[in-house]
Amino acid sequence: MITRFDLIRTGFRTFYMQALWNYESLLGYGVAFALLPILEKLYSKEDIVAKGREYLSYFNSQPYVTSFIIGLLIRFEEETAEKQINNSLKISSVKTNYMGPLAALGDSFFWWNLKPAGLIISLFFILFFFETLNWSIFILVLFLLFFNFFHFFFRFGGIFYGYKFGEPGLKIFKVFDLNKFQKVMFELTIFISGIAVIMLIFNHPVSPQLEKINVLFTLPMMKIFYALVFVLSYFLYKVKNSPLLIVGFILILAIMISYIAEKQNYILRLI
Amino acid sequence: MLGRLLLSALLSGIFEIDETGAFQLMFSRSMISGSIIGFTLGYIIGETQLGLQYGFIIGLFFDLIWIFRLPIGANVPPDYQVASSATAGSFILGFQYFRPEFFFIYFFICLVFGFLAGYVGGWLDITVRKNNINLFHVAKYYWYKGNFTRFRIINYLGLFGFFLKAFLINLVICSFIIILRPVLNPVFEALPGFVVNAFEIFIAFIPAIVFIVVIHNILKESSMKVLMFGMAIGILVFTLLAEYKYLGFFLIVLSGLFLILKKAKKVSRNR
Repeated sequence: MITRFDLIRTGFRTFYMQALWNYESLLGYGVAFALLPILEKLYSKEDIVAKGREYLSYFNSQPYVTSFIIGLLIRFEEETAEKQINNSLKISSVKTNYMGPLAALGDSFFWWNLKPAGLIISLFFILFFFETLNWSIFILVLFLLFFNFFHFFFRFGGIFYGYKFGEPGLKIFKVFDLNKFQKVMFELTIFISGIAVIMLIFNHPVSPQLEKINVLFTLPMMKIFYALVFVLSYFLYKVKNSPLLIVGFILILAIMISYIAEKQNYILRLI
Repeated sequence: MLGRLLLSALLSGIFEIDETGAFQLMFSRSMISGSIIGFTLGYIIGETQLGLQYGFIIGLFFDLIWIFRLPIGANVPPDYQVASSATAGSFILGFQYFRPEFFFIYFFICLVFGFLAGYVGGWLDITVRKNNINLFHVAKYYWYKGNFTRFRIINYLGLFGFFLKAFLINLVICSFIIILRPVLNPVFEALPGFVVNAFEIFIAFIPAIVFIVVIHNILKESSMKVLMFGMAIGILVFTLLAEYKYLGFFLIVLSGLFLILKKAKKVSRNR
């Protein structure tokens, strides 16, 4: 009864999973919204109304990986409609059993690994090819493609997989070994960060205007300052975990450097 | 000017929908949204390249500074998208009003207001989500009445809430800075030279700030070796191989691949 078109359609509707994100049901509305066309196909209006208790309840997971649960629910609903059995307990248990583990998996994979890795690698490429900044558009597109490859894979693949294989289908996470992938991405992010720090210190552009103002701003001096600021700010951030504090610290430091440079310039002129 | 301000606010609103409400295709990443807003407004004022460049830098700054403030569960981080679009919008639309030496100080002011917009955005996000509880109850009412057309319409009202939030913040912040320009100009003129120069130094240190935040958040004792390895490769590439850029790039890619394979092997062996 459920066609491939129905699954694709539901996949597109999962894009609205968080449209009515609220503190009462979290993604509860999103699940009901995504499944509505399927329910309309399988049941009468009265039956759908009765299913409100199951679908409009609390639901919280990572929006990309929720598709696996949606796929499972479609499968159960189809079974229910075909065999005329009561699956409501099974549906509730699937929702509650899988939403937590999948949320943890999705959050750590997408937010803790893929996003920082994508951003750091993009930044590295852009800094490396800074002179030809037209590259930045190409790299931005590359970042979008990189991230959305995984996004679409989970979003649409999850629905098809959950629908086709049911609960045993969730073993796919073991086959793909996301944990291994995460560890590798994490290592790569740190490696690129190390290179980028050195790149910032050695390849740092100094404005020609500033270079003219004072000897303090010549390239070798700027490199030393840069390295020093890096180390100092890092330890400051370690003590007090606030980016705003580093911003303030660096601003005060910049004013001090600028003031010393001006005074030194004045003394040099007097000599 | 009103048209340009509205365009900036409209783009911000659209990107905000992508951030929470729907799609999540990562167009809302401030690196992407900042670049697109910078590019669009830059094109209108005849400074496409500069608009893209600064939009990208602003976006990347906010993206990385709040990279580990994650939207997990009911946690609402500062709104990086609103922050970057308000900064990029106000900077690109206003910088032509100032002399080139005040370019960086104006950039800094826009950045400060961007921070403010980000925190206000996060706070308003909570308000929108609280308000969504009422919309959810209306949606529930329509579901139980069997009026699924109206149930679907509520979805778009939810999206509109997120859109409106970003639209208004962007419009207010950008308009405020644009209106403030005549007041800022004499203030800048009155500032001592070293203060004006200090802002140029500060802006040069921005990449350092973002890398400190990233490294501090991802670095574990066990991965210190990888960071050091990255730094060593960086020193080699940017000192000895500085003349041979592409050879250096090749070496980085090769080292990255070596690390990936080594880590993958290690993870597999540990299992």
